[in-house]
Order: sequence, then structure tokens, then C-alpha cells
Amino acid sequence: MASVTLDQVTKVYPNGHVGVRDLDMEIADGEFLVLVGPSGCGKSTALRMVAGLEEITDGVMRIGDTVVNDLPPKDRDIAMVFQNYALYPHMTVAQNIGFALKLAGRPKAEITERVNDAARTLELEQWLDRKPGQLSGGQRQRVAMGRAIVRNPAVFLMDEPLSNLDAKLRVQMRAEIARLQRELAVTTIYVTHDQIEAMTMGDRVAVLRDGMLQQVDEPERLYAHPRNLFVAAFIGSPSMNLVEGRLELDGDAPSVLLGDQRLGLPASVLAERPALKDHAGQDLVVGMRPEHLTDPDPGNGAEHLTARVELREALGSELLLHLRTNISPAVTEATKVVAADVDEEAVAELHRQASAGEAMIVARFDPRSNARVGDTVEVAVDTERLHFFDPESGDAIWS
Amino acid sequence: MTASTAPVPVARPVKATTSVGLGTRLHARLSAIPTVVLWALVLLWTLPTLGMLVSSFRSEEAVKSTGWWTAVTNPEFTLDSYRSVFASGTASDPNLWQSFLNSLAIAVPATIIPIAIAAFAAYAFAWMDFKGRSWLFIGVVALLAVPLQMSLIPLLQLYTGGAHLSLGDTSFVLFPNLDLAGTPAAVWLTHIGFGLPLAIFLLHNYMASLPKDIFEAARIDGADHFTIFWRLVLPLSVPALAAFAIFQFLWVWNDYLVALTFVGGAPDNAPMTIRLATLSGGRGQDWHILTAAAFVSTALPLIVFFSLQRFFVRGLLAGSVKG
Repeated sequence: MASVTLDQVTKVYPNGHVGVRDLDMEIADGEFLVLVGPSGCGKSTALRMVAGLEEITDGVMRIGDTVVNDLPPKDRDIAMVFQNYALYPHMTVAQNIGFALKLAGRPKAEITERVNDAARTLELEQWLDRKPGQLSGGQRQRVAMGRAIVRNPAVFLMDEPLSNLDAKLRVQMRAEIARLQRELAVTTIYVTHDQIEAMTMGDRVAVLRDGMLQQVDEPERLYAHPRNLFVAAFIGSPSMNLVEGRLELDGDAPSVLLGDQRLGLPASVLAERPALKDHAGQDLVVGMRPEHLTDPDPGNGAEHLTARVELREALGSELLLHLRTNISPAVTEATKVVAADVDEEAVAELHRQASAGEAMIVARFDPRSNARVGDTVEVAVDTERLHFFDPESGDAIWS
Repeated sequence: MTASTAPVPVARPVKATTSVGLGTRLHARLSAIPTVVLWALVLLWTLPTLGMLVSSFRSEEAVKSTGWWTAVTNPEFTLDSYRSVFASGTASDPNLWQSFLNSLAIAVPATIIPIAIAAFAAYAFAWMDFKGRSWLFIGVVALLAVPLQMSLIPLLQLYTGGAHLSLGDTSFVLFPNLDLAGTPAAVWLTHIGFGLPLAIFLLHNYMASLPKDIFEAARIDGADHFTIFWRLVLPLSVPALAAFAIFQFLWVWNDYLVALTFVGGAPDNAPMTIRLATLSGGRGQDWHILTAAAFVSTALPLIVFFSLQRFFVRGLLAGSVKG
């Protein structure tokens, strides 16, 4: 058991590309930290530096109290689970799991016992004599886990361990890994591209972009209080709707103007975000989570936006409406990076919406709603839960 | 040897609506062509071998008067040719068993030693970082271009007299005189030297295609380079090792030129190929027994090939297709 400390850790590749820049992080003993971010953000590089598979260009890395910058992987007391499991194809499951112990020169009886223990924990007992090629994806994944837990390491490192599994199995293994980690209470660093994994598994989640740490926080806080546009756009599925708006503070009735539609703001919005006053009369980026855009509710004096339904996704428990508005979408570096992480078409679509001034937004309606494609609907906006960002810096506006 | 398959001609379905059925049938017909061509080639190339096999069981008289195909209508077989091939020879003309053993004494070390050396070298070229790695590798592979025939005489001189460098009055020994001429060692040493570049090249390409993650997992598990090589790379490279072993063994077993150069003057140490040549050259009147001798000489390569052939194709394709 040990903590992991990254102090100004930097990775510069020989070709000058900066993989990770001045990464500061403190992962407590027994904590489950998830590293998340778009492709190429440096999350895997950071993990591989902890593992010792990647040299550290600058900064100090500690596991427990030991500076490990120059220690080879085997002396760091870590175990790693790889994306494609990296099992030894010519060895049986038992040999795979016991390989590290065998190399460490442990007595045979002890190896057998520990391998059996690990196999029992992971329900692999009946497969111990099989080769990896004869196992299903989920079983291989478990063998990879077994190889990690059998060593009883101070730190688990996991590099997108579930990305090769199909959706159902992924949900199951997600819960299993989380349970195992709590049982064993081993410090864990978990890299993923999947933010549902990030939100559900981590004690804390660190969001990276271009090798730089954007925010590290508990999942709920990250979701409710993203520190900047990038975190706001990246965390959440469907993602936050980000549009251009103008804050107006006329007298005692503050409001935000989105296109030609005005949303009145309750006093609490300004009270919670004192810094917002400084942005009066200025353009800013307004963020709305889909779940805060709901069925019209005229009785309770809720604020509403008008939009036309373009796509209707009935998921059973909820109804996602993709709506075309007459509001301009926010196009910043951050939103472009997040769109680029989906695909090039997403970036092109963002630009199309921007030039037309017609942002698509997603609202979460009651599944019984009778809104149909082509309808123009009123959408109730939970104005207390709006997010405001400075369009220049991309920072969230709080205090 | 395998004939390369011509790209399968694909008939494009002609204007969908009416003739989908026709297009499919045409496609089926056309795609059968390569198979037919291949069978024709197999037949064409197997026929002489078959003729040789049949001839080896026919009597001297029959071989010299009629074609082997007459055996189909008038089957009459004898083991006479095989008996005369194995008949005990004299000191200057040892029997075929001796040559068979000589061939083994050359082919076995000439197969095993280059594999052992090349496996280490290939691992280092593929997975160890050191300065000048790629240049050194290019240098080794470039040696494939050195023609064997060009170096026969210099090598013979080296084996019989060593190599000396004279600077003014002093002479340095670069290579001692080992007096290897006429010994099997001269032959297999040469084969090792000329087999190594191809061995290193083939094995390197195979080893480099092994997934990187496995090596990283092993490093985390505490393995050093030697452990990774011994416990992971070698067992995983069996197909490539076997493929090269077949190549090298067949090449050395069938080699005539190198053997003639280095042990041509020492019949006691001569391998099968030399022996076969003397059978026909020295006793031209007995050419009918050549067929039997050739089959004795082919027996071992056939066994080697069929016992390793399942690795053969896999090893050659290694790296090109992810498996």
C-alpha cells in the first residue's frame, strides 16, 4: 500500500512532442484515481511513467516515500493491466498469473497457493489449465487482473482495461473491478476514454488535455462544477449544451440573452457566482446540461426556450430530443477538441451550426412526452443550474 | 516450392437488375481458374519425380530399353538398384551409408548453429536499444547480396593457410591455419556463415512483430532481457525457427558446390551429393542406379519437411498477417 505523488512531472519525446506537462497529482493510499481525456491527451503516457515503461523527462515521481524516477518497473512494486491484456499466449492461465512470482524465485507451493487464491477471487479456478487463446474476452480480462492481484502490489495501474469488451460485459467488469479495488484497498490509477467508467469507478477523476491537468475532483463535483469549458464539454453524456449568450443586469432583473430568446435568472444565480457581475453586458458561453432542459412547465413560472425537434431518441427510461435552436453554438478551442475526439464530421457539424447560428441542443424529456420530429416545442430551463464560462479563457465564472 | 497464386479474377456483377445470377455463376467459374492452373502445375512437376520413383524399382535391362510408363501395363519390379547402391564400397569409394552420415554431419551443425546465433542477434536487433542498431542490421542484411561463388576460393585459402597481414618485415596472423580443407567442418562453417544473414533477417522480422505489450508486461513482472528471450520470445518464435530450419537444412543437404570445393578431394568425408555425382560420372554405364540413390538422398529431407511443414507456411507469413 502506498501513495503516489507526481511533482511537476513532464514527458518530452525525442522529437520534441510534449506528452505530459508539469503534472502535479497526489494519489492517496488506497484511492481509486481515474485519468480521463480525449485521445492523445497524455493519460496513458502519465500512467506509463508511473509504471516505469516511459522515462520521466523532468519532475519527481514518488511511490510511497521512494523516488522512483530511475527505478526499473520491477522494483516499483506495481502491477499493470494492459488494454489488450498482454497475456503470454504460450502459457496456461496458472502460469500467466504465477509468472511474476516465479521470476521472483518464490517457492512452488507458495506460487500455487497464491495463484489459486487469485483464481478464486476472480472465479477463474476451472480455467487454470487453459491457454489464453481458449478463453473469452471477459475471461482473458480476468486473467490480466489475476496477474496483477497475485503480486499484492502497492499500486495497480490499469490502461483502458475494459475497452476491448462488448458493452454488457464492460458494465459487469466495471462493477467487478470497482468492488475488487475496494476489497483489496490498493491504490489504483485507471486510464480510460470512457467517461461513464470515470464517473462510476473513481474516488476522484483527473481530466487531462494536451498533457495538462484540467481538473481533479470527485466525480459529482466534476460534473456539477466543471472548472472550465473543456471539462464541462468532456464530462457528461450526452454532453453539456454550450451556446453563446449575453448577460444583462438591468435593474434587479438579471437575464441572459440567447440569440433572440431571453431567460430570466433567479437572484441565487448571481449570489452564488459573484464574479458574474463583472461580465454584465458581455458575451459569454452558457452551458446547459440536457437534464436541466425538460418538458414545458408553464404553471410554475419556469423559463422556457423555443426550439424545433430534429431527432427523437426514446431510451425507455428517458427521451432525448435533439433540438435546433436559433442560438449560436459556442465554438472555442475546448469545444473543438471535444468534437474532434468524436470524429472530423463532428467538427464540421459544429462549424456548420456556428455559421448558420443554429445550435443543436439536447434536452431530456419525460418518455411520455408527445413531442414529435418537426414540432416546435417549449423547453423548460432550470436556470439555477446554468453554467457560465468566459469565452476568452474558457474558465468557469464563479467567484 | 510453391507456385504463387495469381490474383483471383473477380467478375463484377453485370448491371444488377437482370443478371445477378449470371454474374455469380461467372464469378464462380472464373475463380476456379487458379485452382485448375495450380493442379496442372503440381501434376507437371510431380510427373518426373514419379517417373524416377518407378524407374528406381525397375531392372537395369528394363530401364535401359523402355520408358518408365511401360511399368503401368507391364509391372515388374525389383530392388536390385537399391541393393547395388547400398553395396559395400572400397576405401576410395565408400558406400552410400557413409555419405549419408557425412551429409548429416554437415547438415545438422549447419542448421542448428546459425539458428542459435541468429535467435540471439534477431532479439537484440528487434527489442534492445543500442547505438547504431539499424545500421548494423542493414549491414547484416546487406550480406545477403554477397554471392557464395565469389568467396569460395578466398575461403578455401583461409581454411588451408589462414590469413596473414605483412607490414614491412613483420607478419600478423589474422586467421590461424586450421587445416580445415577436406573436413566436414569446412563445409558447415561456410554454410553457417552464408545462412546467418537470412536467419537473422527472418527471425528479426518475426520477433519484431510480437506484440510490444507482452514485453512490457514481462518487464513489470520482473523479467530481464535474457528471461524475456528465453521464456517468451523463443517459445513464441517456434514457427519462424522451424521455417528457417527447413530452409537451411534442405539447402545444405542438397548443396553440391560448397561440398565439392571443400571436401571434393576427400571421398571419406564427401556428402550424398558428391557421392551421387561420382556414381554417374565414374560409372556412366550404371546410370540406372542413380534413380535409387536419388531417392535415398531425398528420404531425410522429406521426413524433415513433413514433420515441420505445419510451421512452414505460418512462419513465412509471420508478421504479414496478424494472427
